[in-house]
Parts: sequence; C-alpha cells; structure tokens
Amino acid sequence: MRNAVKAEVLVPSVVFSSLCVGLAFAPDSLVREFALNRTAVRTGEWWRLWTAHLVHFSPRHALFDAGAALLLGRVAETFLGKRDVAMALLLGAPLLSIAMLLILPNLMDYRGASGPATLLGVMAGVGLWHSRPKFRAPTACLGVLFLAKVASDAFGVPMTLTNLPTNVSIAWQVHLIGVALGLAVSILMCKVDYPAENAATVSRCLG
Amino acid sequence: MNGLIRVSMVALLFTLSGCASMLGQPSHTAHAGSVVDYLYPDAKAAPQMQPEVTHLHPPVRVGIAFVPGSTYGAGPTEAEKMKLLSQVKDSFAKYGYIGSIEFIPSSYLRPRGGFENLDQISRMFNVEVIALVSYDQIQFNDTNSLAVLYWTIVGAYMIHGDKYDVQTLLDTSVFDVGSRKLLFRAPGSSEVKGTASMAGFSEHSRIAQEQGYQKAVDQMIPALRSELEEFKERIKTDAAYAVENKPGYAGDLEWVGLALAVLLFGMAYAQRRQS
Repeated sequence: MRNAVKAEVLVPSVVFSSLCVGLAFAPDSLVREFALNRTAVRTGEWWRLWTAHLVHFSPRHALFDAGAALLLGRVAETFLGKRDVAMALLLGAPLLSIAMLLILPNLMDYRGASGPATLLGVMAGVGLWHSRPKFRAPTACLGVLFLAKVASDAFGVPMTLTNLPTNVSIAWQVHLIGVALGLAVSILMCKVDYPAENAATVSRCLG
Repeated sequence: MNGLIRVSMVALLFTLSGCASMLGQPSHTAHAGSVVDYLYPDAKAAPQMQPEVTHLHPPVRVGIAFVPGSTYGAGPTEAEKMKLLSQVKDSFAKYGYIGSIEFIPSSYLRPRGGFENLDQISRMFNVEVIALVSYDQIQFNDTNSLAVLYWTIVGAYMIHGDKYDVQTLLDTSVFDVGSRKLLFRAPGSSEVKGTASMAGFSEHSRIAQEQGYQKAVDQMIPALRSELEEFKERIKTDAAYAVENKPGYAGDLEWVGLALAVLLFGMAYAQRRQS
C-alpha cells in the first residue's frame, strides 16, 4: 500500500499538477521570481524557462490548467510511460518558453501550465488515436474543438472563466507550439503505433 | 667687446625666461556636462515640483545618455563614454523590473535642451525613464618652489616644479520623463594630485584626468547598483510611487480545455472498459 502511494506521488503528471496548485497559493513575490520575464532570462535567470509553466495569475487559473494537465498527463503516461512523459515535460517546458520569447517580442510576464498541458494532450490524443480505430473520429473531434478554442482566443473572443487580471491576455501561441511539440515528441519516441498489449497498460493506469 | 658679450648674455637670459613664462600652465581647467545646466538652462529659481504620484509600469523601458558638455569635444572621449554607459546598462539589466535599455546617442541631446529635449528623446526611443550621466572635472595647476630651476632650461625637463590637482565628479541621475521627477541618483568622485616637470606636465595631467575619471567610475557603479536595489524596495512602500504592471500573457486552457481533457480521459477510460 505504501509503495503504491509512493509510486503515485512520483508520477510526472501528479508532480507537475501538484506543483501548479501549490504555487497558486505562494506569495506574489515568489511567483514573480518564477514567471517568464525576457530581461530576467537574458541576465541569467534560466530557471524561469521551466518555472513559468508552474505559476499562474490566480488560483482558478491554476486549477483549470493543473486539472487539465493531470488528466491529460495520466492518459499520456498510459501510452508512453512515465519516464517519457517526464522527459517530455522537462525538455518541452524550456522549448515552449524559448519559442514564446522568440514569437512575442514584447513578452515580459508569462505564466501558465497550458503549454505543457497541450503537449501532454497531443501525446495522449495520438496514443488514443492509435489504440483503436473506433476512437479516431472522437479524438479528431476533440482536436478540432481544441483548435477552435485556440482560434477564438487568437481572434480576441476568449471563453474565459478564469478571471484573469484585466491587463493579461491569453497566449494562444503557446497552445499551437504545444501541439507542434506534442506531435514531434510522439513521432520521435516512435511509440505512436500502439499494439493491442497496451490495452492492459491502459487498464492498469486508469483503473 | 666684453660689454657686448654681457649685453648678449642678459638678452639671452631674458629671452629664455620669456619662453618659460609663455609655457606656464593655466591656473585651472574645467570640463563639465552638468545635468542642471542641461535640464534647467534658464532657471532663475529652484524648480517647483507638484506633489504627485509617479506611475511606474514595470518592466520599465530605460534610456541611458551622457549629458552634453558645455564645450565641444571636452571631457571623456566617446570610447570612455560608451564604456561607462555599458557599465550603467549592465547595472540596470540585473533587475526584473527593468525592461528594455536603450543607449541614446550624444547627438540627440541638445546642450541646454531641457525637459523638452528629454520629452522628444523619450518619444523617439520609446523610453519612460532616462538615466543621465553627467561629469564635472576640474584641474587646478600651481607651481612649487622648484619651478625656479626651470630657468636652467634643463630644469624644465628634469625638475617637477608644476603641481596639479584633478577633481572629478560623475553622477547618474535617473528621471521619470512623464512626471519629470528625479527617481534617484548615484554619484562617484575622485581626487588625483601630482607633480610634473614643465615639459612633461601635459602628459602627466592628461593621465591624471584619465585616472580621476576611472576612479570616479569605480565609485559610481557600485553606488548605482546600491541605489537600484534600494529603489526596488522603496517603490513597494513609498506612497509617492504607484507600480502598475504592464500587460502579461497567460497560458490558459480555461474551462474549454479542461472539458476537452475530461472527454479525452473518459474516452481512454472507455477504451479500458472495452479491452
């Protein structure tokens, strides 16, 4: 029982989402030290490339992102394994940050776990797509709905419930980068073609 | 004949003493680029500041410039100015509340340009805060009792009969352009004294000026870092400053993203049930 609890605590998606929720209640001075800030990164505060994805603008913002990251991460872990998901998070987080810094020249304060969550979502979606042909259509529908949400954000019609501060806008670009990275990770890890034996793994993890 | 020789010797002596007198150093020289002269060129009385709240929008866009000197070409060389401005820039770049930092070329600052010139620069370079680096270097020259030996001609090359005293003051004053308020300042000063022969005075005094400038820089940069640190703390508590953050970006999946995640998780669960 104790070993089971220990194993669950070390699951990458659980660790990631727990850190997000925990930092949602951290003092603002600490959160500012973790947010992505172009000037700070340029002066050597490299940790921000990773930590920006763990901090949020409000507890509600953190709960939405952490909840999605947890669910999508758990599914991704069933198809790719915990180690690969951990690697994807560790390598994907700085790549997402660097891409954001390159795309948005005025970016001075970025926070949110949606980039890594999108990455995990694509990994999970690709896994599900290959698990059984009958899941392909609903998976594709979810993908289309997600892209529609990104488009609505991009055209300034956000469907928001997270009560972000008035001067904060949604970085929809990070979701597109997350999609691209998720596809790249799935292909690179050469685990997109899932055989039937993975069903047992799925059962074990989701059960 | 002897009389002619005597007259010639006396004439030669007076001629040489005349040379020595002509080569004498001016009593003092000054190179200055004063921030007060630049910002308040025609002020007869102290400027009246209205008590108002200064709004800062971090990360703040900062411009750094050298105050134009009163005399063209006087003071530090362009290379020295650029080196100093780079050091000032490095001091600012350490802080998260500082955004972009722009060098303002000297040619954009009009001597005695005032805040009108500063407003123009602020718009042109899109900066909110400007750090003005000013300098004031004055050199006092005197002779000591050994200077009498300059009469021997050789003495003008061997004897250190001239004294110099170079006093340098460097100052970085940081202004919020919108409110025209001085946010903080960091000074650095030095004094270099020495002696030189008449022939070597020019070289020695030039080296002393360079040393004095460098010593003042070495004092000003740590003072600037200390002031920046102090200012960072001061704006948190001082009611005269209101910190309003610039727009940020949020990676936010919102309820839609969470709903899609729930659906995907549900599908994976269904797959498990079917297998």
